[in-house]
Amino acid sequence: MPIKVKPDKDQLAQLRHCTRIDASKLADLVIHLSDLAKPPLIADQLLTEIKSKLSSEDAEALLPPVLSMSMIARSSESKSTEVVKAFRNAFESPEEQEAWDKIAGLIQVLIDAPAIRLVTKAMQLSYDYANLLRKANIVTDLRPLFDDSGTVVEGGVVTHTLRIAYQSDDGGHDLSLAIDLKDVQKLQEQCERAIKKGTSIRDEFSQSTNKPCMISGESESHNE
Amino acid sequence: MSSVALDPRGLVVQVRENAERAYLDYDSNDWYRSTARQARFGEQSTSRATMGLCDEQKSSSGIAAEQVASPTIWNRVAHWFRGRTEKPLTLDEFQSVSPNDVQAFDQFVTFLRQQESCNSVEDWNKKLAYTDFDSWPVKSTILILAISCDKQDDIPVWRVQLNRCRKNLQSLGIHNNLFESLRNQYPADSQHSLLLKAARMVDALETQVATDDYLDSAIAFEQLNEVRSALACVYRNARYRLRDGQIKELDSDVRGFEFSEAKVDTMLAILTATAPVKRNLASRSTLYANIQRTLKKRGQLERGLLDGLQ
Repeated sequence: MPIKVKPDKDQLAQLRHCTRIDASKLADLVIHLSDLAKPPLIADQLLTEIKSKLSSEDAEALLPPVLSMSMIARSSESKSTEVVKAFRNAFESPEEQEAWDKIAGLIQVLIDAPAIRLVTKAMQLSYDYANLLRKANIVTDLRPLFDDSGTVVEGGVVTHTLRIAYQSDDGGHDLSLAIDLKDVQKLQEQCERAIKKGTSIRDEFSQSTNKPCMISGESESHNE
Repeated sequence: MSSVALDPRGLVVQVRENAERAYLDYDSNDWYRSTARQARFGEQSTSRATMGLCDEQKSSSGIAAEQVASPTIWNRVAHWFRGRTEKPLTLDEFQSVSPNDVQAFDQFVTFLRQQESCNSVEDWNKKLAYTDFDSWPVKSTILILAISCDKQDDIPVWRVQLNRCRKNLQSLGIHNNLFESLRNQYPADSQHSLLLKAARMVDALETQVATDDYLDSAIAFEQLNEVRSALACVYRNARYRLRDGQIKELDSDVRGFEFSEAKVDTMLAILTATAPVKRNLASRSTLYANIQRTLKKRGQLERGLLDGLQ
């Protein structure tokens, strides 16, 4: 069953950049990634591998669309050939389609490469939840205490509001919760504990299984 | 799409938002309503020709390869290709081509090469990009690479697909570096002929019916020091012969076995695989004597080596 994709202006620009990458270097990269004995789990590490064969500019332009395509293939249960075909149709001019054809075979093999699949799978599983946190902040207010006449400030109360913005299948949502100092301290404690627990279980899993393991959202620098 | 390395979560959300599955109504009758009568007729003829080719190839009888290679079938295929001038060539048809009949395959290659419009670099780029090689037998992908090998310098994806075949062969446990080993073994051969040889060798292991030259493939594997694949070639294909009641063909295999080129493992394998039906194989006793003599001459006839195999 054919799939349709609608890349926006920026995405199309990135795809156009990809069509300008030297196809021979791209082929070297595909073979390099296919032959990796231990494919990376984190996108930053993957980017480093890509940079070993392409310029930084090309590598950074290539990785996001390739990961997107790999995710589309996974989420729509489509073949990589169908995905590259769908992206071909996203180009309007025949010249651009022809330029895409030159690298489409390489992109298609790249999408299927274990190195790309592993990172995509890890990313998707990291955020495979009904609701995704987009932003969390604590707004601190001072509420004045007025006298009975409402003209004199007799004191003040500092309050905190935990504001959470999250994304679900039906769009973005906001939630505001009033919290006091003890809640803030408890949250701080829980956050520190969660970071420790994540690191401990990741290290234990990696050591006992000799398999890579990442904490959802961690970057290469955190993993070192 | 900003740098994914910095914001993987953003990318996941973005993909969720941007990518949509188009559940198009894929009614198989749609083409009928929207296509002119003449074209519908052509389409139906095409389907028949293709189906005919595939059906015969899929047949479990041992003569499938001969049928595919028969002039009638090839004429039908040729006729069908000529009639497809307005449609881009898809590679799916190649799946049915057996590399076993080299002559027939070369005819097919020659025919394709004559179709200039089907063989430009641009066309090969499209074919190699939009064909689902994962659903193909590895041998068919190797055949495609054989056909297009003269343009490989202009088609970067060519060597990527070759590497993919190599990986697939590794995962099938057939050979770790089949192409390199063949190149080292036969340095004078062209890449086209090496790929055809590789396809035939893989064919002998992949195909679920006995192939005509499986013993040659076994010897070829053995010469590359790939004894496991060599033995698999002999045992699997001999078993297919027995399963399909092809005693006459098996006897012909025994008669044509190039014992002078074979090493001891393949020799023992052919004698062992055919032992259960030795009374029905007229050529087997001659083969046994030839093998015994050859091993003796080479100084490899260890005591008891051929016991129970006569």
